[in-house]
Amino acid sequence: MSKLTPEEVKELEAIRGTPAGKDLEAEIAKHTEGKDEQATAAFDDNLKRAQQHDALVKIVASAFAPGGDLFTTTGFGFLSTDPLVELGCKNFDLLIFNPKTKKAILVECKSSLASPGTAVADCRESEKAFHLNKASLEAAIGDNIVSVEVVLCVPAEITQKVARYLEETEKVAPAAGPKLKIWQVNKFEGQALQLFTLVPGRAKPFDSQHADGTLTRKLADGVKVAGLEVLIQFGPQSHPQEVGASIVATLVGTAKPGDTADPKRMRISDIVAYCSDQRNVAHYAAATVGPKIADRFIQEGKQLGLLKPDGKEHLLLAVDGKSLRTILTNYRREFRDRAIARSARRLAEEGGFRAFKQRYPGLGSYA
Amino acid sequence: MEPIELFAVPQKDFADAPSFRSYLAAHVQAGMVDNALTLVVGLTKRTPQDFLDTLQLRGFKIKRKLGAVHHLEYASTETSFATFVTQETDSGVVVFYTNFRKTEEVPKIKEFLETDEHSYPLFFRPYVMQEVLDQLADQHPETQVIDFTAKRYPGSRSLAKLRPDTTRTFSYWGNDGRETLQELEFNYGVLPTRMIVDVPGHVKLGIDGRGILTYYRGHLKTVLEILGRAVDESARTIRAFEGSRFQVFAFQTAGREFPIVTSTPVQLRLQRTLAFTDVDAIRQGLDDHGYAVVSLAAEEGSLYLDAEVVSKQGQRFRIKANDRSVRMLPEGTPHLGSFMEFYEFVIDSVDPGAELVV
Repeated sequence: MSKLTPEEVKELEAIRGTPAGKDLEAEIAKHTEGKDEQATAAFDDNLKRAQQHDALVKIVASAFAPGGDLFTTTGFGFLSTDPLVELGCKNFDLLIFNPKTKKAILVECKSSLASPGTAVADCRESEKAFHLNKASLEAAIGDNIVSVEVVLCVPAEITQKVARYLEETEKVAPAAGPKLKIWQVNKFEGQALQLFTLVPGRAKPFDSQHADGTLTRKLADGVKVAGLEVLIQFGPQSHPQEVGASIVATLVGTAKPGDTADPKRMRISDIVAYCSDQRNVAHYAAATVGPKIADRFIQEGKQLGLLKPDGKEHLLLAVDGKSLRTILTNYRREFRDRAIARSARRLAEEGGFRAFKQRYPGLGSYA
Repeated sequence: MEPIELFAVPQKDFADAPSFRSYLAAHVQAGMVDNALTLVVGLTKRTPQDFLDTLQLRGFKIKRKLGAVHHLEYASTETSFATFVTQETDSGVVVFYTNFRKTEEVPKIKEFLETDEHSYPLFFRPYVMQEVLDQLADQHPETQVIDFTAKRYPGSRSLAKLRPDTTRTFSYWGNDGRETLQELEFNYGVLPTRMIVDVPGHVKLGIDGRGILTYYRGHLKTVLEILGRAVDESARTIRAFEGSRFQVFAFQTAGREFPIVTSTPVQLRLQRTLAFTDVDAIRQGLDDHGYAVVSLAAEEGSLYLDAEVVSKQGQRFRIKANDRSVRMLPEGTPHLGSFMEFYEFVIDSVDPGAELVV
């Protein structure tokens, strides 16, 4: 969360080890006021955004659940979240695929829109990355991708904003090739997913429609996710607190009378296995992506003092409680409190460091 | 004290549970039975043979087989008693019929149902009990309630004149219980959890929300009719439960196969409207009922709730809710006990008027 560059962080640590460190700490101390509130607000906001984003992704995945109505009538089904994230490039949130026609739909979900321009730009960038890495994706999913459509999916409340933006930009510089499609989700009215076809200024109605007529018809009517749902524990973009709670809930048992094993003792290989299972992470390359998620959980846990190494192969959950209920409550609370404290510290350090450099410009050059 | 004996039923070959109940209606009268006759209703996913095997594993012995009815005996260091048991084969409803004491011996039957993995005691929703009373009163205007317990459920939005936010329980004994219950409902928004109903010259019976019917005297047939209703309600419950499913779908492309996890929920339609402001009470209710909350996300506008919990028995599932309904999505083979527990949780902490969608 700190806006200090890695070089600046190094410099800060270096100064700490010198007599001038005292002045640096004094400066940092002056910058602690209000940082708790700022860090708290940022943490809660990030968590809320991540949850809203996950909700959108899960509704779209559920609408296209294999075995569900949309899949049965159109052949398009949910295959994976975050396609190509394993290559580290800019990627979409969902890959929907039709194994019969080999058509793919790449969906970008945006749960809030400060700037429609950024959302559309993100789609274009992810689309470029897809085309550059198409062969990798085809190898990974074990099939050819004959054609692709790109969709921006937003909550119904912000559809108009997106439509207006597209109208403006397409007027000025109409994009070559197929236009961006818009899906809207209404979480509150039966989790309804719908194709939005009324982008003003699009002369040809099919600019807003899918090439597949059946899919267009079904989505234009709106599809309610009222029954069958796809279950995803977490994805590469999920909030670390959610990822952690899911891992803890699975791997930590409740102490039973007569049990000698410590229920809070987790085997590292079990954590990796859990994160690398596509049934939990809903990604075609879960075996590659999983270990990274597991590692992030472990490193973060150690840094926040929630996980302590216990031998080479195990970790101990350093949280109070005997029942899973208490352990989970405490884990979530401790994670939040410690992450906020860490952020507040870093915010104070940033402010203090900058003020220190201004005051003592000469002392700063330790690079 | 004279030892209690199970009420007598001669050796007969009963074709099914309803024919046993017809026999009881025709032949059993209050004077013949020590204590009151207690009927304990439960649900099971086990086959009849499996159910009997499980009972025997838990200390019940089969004394006699009377066709579809079994005469069981239970003996432990603390207690011993006997009971008849039937199972409706098409709906999974089981009924225990005993005249042993409600406070001493009957709890063992409840304990068996509660702790068996594939069984659960039935509970009568408060509105169902109210309907039973209303129907009896319609047919017999002199119907009285002489003993009742009524409570205001935390999730209740039923109208209450006085301090509607207070959770409360009333216990009442008196000859004007029916009127008093109405007055308490009006003033305090409480609903009955158990009552003893006396229809002079006709029947005296007890109905307890925890799935227990009691016959004191008069026409046993009336009690058995109420039991029939409970059996229908249970059958509906099992059907709703059986609509839920957990399935790992194999998504196939030309060269590979990917597991996609799907879940089909059991749905409860609410009588009241849920709002974002109710989320804290729901969170508290989950905690009160012993659920470990893995995650809980809620959004306002009207209401969107998505939670993942682990029950006391270690069953994990997702809860989705909006302003009008609550859904339970199993994460693993659906488990009857977990489902019934969750159903009870919704009645207790969210909406006592919630109904299963079949």
